Amino acid sequence: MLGVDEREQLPVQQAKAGELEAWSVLFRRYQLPLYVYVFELARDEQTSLDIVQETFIAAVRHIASLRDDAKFGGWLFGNAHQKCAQWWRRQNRAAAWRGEMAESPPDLDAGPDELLVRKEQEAEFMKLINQLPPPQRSVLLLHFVEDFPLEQIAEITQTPFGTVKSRLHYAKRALRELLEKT
Amino acid sequence: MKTPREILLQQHQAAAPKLDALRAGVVAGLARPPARETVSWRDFARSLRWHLAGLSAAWAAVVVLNLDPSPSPVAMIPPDKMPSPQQLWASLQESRRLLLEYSDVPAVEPVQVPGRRGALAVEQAVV
Repeated sequence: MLGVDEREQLPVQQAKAGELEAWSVLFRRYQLPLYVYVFELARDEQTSLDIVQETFIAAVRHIASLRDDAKFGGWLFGNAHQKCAQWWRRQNRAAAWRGEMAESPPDLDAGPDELLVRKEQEAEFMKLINQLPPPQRSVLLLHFVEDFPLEQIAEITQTPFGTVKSRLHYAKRALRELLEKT
Repeated sequence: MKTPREILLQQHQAAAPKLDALRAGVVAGLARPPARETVSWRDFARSLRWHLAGLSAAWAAVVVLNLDPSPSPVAMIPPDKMPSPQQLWASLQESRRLLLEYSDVPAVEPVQVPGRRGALAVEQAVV
């Protein structure tokens, strides 16, 4: 399974060469998905805008450290994820951020597009996302918003692959149960 | 029916104008060359205003202390205890002698001042 960014032709090389238009294209491509991801973790508009801005500035500064241009999206989300984690730590909510699932990871079945949500379920869907513990929410958002493969989600969140698999499974199961109920 | 991605992006579509402005700001920041530090004299002086104020206060304090109206030690000597002109002359002569002695300059023989014409005439008459 390929991430969204791996199917696209993004001007990462030009951005590395310092072309402003290339940066503008990259930022335009990722600004809303990145904001969605950060907002759903931080639940605060100004904090989310600040983190997105800091992520963009950090991307410009550290673009030379990106080895694989095809992984630009994952790299950008990884930076944003770290800033969210720092923000959670400053809020003294580190315990919730580190919350783990105890059960062993089962096999995953479907991709993000398999789940379809009816219009009358949308509010419930957003409510459920918000109710998930941050680690599960983070994995589910990366899966839904950018369709990142599990390996890349593990890299972004700096979490073992098995843990990512487990978190995604339980998050999707909870979501599926909700959609079947309503 | 919508995919979760569509729902999530749609939920936050209202933030798009702010994100556009944010992106434009970051890109504009890239376009701007790094600002050179050009400091004018006025800015430089302004940056030192507290130091200058401190120094001025210190100098003002020094001036005020020097204007203290207390009498000088010389003025405190009562007139009746002032040395007489003879004493001052003797002291000056002694100082001069010591100075010549320390500077190894040969002492000058005192000049023989001839006496009165009358006294000279008496000496010649005796010889």
